[in-house]
Amino acid sequence: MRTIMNKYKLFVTGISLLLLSNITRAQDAATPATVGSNDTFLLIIIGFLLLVVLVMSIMLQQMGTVVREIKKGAGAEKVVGGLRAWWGNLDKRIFTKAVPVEKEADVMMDHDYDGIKELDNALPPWWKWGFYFTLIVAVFYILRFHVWKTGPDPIQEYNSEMAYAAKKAESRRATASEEVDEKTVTMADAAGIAAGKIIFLKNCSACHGSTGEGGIGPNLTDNYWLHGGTINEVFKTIKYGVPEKGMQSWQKAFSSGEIKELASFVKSIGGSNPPNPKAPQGNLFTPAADSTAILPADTTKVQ
Amino acid sequence: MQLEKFSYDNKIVRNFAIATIIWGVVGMLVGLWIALELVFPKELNIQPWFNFGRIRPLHTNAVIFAFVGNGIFMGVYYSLQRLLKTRMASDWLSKIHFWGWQLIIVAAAITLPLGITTSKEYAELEWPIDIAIAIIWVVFGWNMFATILKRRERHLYVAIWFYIATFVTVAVLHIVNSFELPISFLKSYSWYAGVQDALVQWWYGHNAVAFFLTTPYLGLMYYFLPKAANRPVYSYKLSIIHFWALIFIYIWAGPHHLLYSALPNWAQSLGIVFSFTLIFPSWGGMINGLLTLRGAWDRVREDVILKFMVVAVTAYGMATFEGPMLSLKTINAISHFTDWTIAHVHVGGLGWNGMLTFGILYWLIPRIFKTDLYSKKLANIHFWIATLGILFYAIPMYWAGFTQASMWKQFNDNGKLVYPQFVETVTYLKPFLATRSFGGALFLIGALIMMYNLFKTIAKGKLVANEEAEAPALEKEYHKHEGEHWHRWIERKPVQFLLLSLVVILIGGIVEMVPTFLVKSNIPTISSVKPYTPLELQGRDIYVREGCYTCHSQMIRPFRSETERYGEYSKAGEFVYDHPFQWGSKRTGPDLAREGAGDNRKSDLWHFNHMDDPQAVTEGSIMPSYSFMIDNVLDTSTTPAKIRAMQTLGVPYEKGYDKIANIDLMKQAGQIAGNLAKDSVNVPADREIIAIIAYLQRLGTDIEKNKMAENQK
Repeated sequence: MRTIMNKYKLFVTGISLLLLSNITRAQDAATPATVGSNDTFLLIIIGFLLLVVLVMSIMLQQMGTVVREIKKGAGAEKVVGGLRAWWGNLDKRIFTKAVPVEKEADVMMDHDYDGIKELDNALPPWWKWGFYFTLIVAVFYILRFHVWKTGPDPIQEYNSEMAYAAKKAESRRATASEEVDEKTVTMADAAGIAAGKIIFLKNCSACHGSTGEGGIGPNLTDNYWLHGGTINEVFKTIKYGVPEKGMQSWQKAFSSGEIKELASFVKSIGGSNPPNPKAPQGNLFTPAADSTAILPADTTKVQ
Repeated sequence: MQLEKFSYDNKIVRNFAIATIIWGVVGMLVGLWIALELVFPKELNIQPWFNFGRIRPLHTNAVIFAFVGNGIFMGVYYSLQRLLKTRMASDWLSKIHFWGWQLIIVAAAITLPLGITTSKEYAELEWPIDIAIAIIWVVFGWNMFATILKRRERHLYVAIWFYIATFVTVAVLHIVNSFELPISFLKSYSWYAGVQDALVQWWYGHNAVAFFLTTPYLGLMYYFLPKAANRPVYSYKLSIIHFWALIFIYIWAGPHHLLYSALPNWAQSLGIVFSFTLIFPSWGGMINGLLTLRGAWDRVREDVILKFMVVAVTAYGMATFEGPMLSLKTINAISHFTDWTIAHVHVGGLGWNGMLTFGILYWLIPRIFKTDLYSKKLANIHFWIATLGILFYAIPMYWAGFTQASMWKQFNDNGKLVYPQFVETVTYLKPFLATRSFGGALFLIGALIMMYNLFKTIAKGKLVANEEAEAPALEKEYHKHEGEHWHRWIERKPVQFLLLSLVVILIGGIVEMVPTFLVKSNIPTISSVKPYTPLELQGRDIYVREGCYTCHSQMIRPFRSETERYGEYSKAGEFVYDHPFQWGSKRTGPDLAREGAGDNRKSDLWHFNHMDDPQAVTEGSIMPSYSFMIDNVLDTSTTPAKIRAMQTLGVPYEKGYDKIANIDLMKQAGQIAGNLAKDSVNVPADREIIAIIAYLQRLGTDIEKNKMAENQK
């Protein structure tokens, strides 16, 4: 019994140390790991496996006696008896440590409440050890995060998550071939405009109507523009938004390539005369003055 | 020894039992309704009284305080008398308790749909009802304690330990959380603001689960399970340890509702570790329950009452394992604000509270009516339907929770959110929401079958209103047994027991709250955060009235996926004028903490159209329409009283501002109405919609100003 208890103690401390370092590392599910938290799950799995190995080894050790009986050529009865003994032993050491039902009179207390009696069974060992384990983990958790300060607080976690994303963005920029901005943007090709239409229908039609006729936001098909009608200006309006007028910024939702497609689509529906158009707002825009002059409106009409 | 004759009061037990059945059905029906509102938002949200935000609190309050509450009292009044071998101390107090409690429930059922609410979850009832609850709760405790003091049984059984802890803790929780400053008969502001209000609320909210849904029901389990199984309680030692450990540890765990929020990190950590250590004390109850059935498992197959109880205790074990897991930051980062939490509480609510209540009712009703159950077959059908109902409820909600959380968090290769439009993650969930409603409907049908079965049983029996009993009186002197357990001492001393449990449950709350209130560094101030304008304040009260917090959080957690979607993560200093706080606990809709700022800011026209007809603006939205706000005239007569109340609570409005506040209010309302008029929406400036737009446009803007100021430097 003593050796088992020692094994337990060793095991409990080992696991708690393992888990402590990582049990609470939070990370956004889809973000590849902040520093060091990749091994969180690995360590939890290792801990779990150790637990399984421990339980298995105790069970096997007990099973050994049964196997020896069989080897000795004992009869089936003895094997069954052995199995029962094996289970009883296990129950006593790990599970309930209960006095068998047949002998419960021995542990019946003299309590009687409206006919309800109470037994004096011991605390189940696994329950007791489990409770100690959680207490130890709790103490180490507080030490780690608030005394030793070796674990990150939520803001540190956030900062490392953001730093990781920034690094990725940096490497993306280094390899990106066509990062555009409001200065360099040009009209997309037909495929790009078609892609822009899909984005438009999903994200923009709530305010600008599904044919760009306007609603909460202005009509995008007439020749009047509040914030300029060149491809560069439309790109800029989408990218940064016009918060004071309720046009939100989309640079966090869409890549610059997507904004280019979107802006190109918006330009492409100019002059499409959809039904129920919203009254013009802003200044008249003359395509002649548009240095980014595009294809004639009637050839890019979108249904 | 002289046997004394007396009788047990069964009438009060019957009354509470009938109330349990009826309120149970009502509470579940409202639950089904709000579940279906999410599937058929246009058809079922009958505005304004039956919009989701107003009747979701009706559902939670009805099932917690009406269904489970009456269930507690039914079980306590039945078991307490028998465990103490005496009648209740006062039939009058029992009656006042019963009728008082039912009146409170009726008051809740009327005020909540009317939008009379404090918006503090599971404590939504306004201050006059809070006072009534406190009085009736004391009546209950007084009656219980007077009964304990005239008992004929020397020692208190473990069930009664749980009853005492329940009484004392719920009293403390209710009183502390209900500190509010009345403005009128039916409106008050929480005494606490922002972070502090959140901490008090979730200390309360979590322990409402602990001390209203758990400890009293463990007490009931300790009486009715051994009774129904006719088996001795498995381990007295385990009872002692898990009882004290449970009540001590539970009270600390509240902050796990606020992980990654603006609550100070040390308080979050306390919430985590105490939730984690709660697994085994909770499981102590489950083990003692299940192992009490040793030697009776063959009967579990036959006896429907035991079946209900076994499922209840197992569900308890599952929920109390899951709870600590959900308190770990790694898991909470995924589960919080999603339907995972809804699944979790329903495993506890339907499984543990529901099934145990049903088991007790089937056991108890035939006994006090001295007859047999009308139909065992129907009871069996109820059992299977209810079990299926739980599965059909919980599984889709877990699935929905995981799925939505991962949709919120996914980034594509360009480093952008895969689902930038929140509504995409909502429309995806619709099949799950529908299946969940089906599960809830099954559970309700089961309860209706039970109602029929039990009323038939009542009809064929006759109530034994006063059940004769006899027991010897307590001897004056008590000689303790040789070698008795040390704990026997306190079981003989109810007053000491009460005081000790009070001390045990006060520690956690004090350690967490006192520093949060007194130590300034816990809530760093932000100079650009200013009090709400009078119109925004009125708009905020409309936001509270409509229960917007039931679907919208105002707490951006420090995750990249949230700051990308909603903007800068929330800071403690932003909420210092929020009486009450509006952080919310569920995102059926998007977070609104920065609705008026940054990339989220929308035009007044957008808000106007969206409140009028959400589906027209956001296709697939499941938000109810609030078009009545366009017709409702804003009640500005309350403005001065509200400003004065805020001043009392420490909000720095200038002296005498209450007298001129309405001038500013009209001015701001005129601007918004003017903006709308420019977009050819002509709405008078005195309407409620103007106030709610003002509030929504204000959200999150303070810190934005701070940034602009910094940039200028």
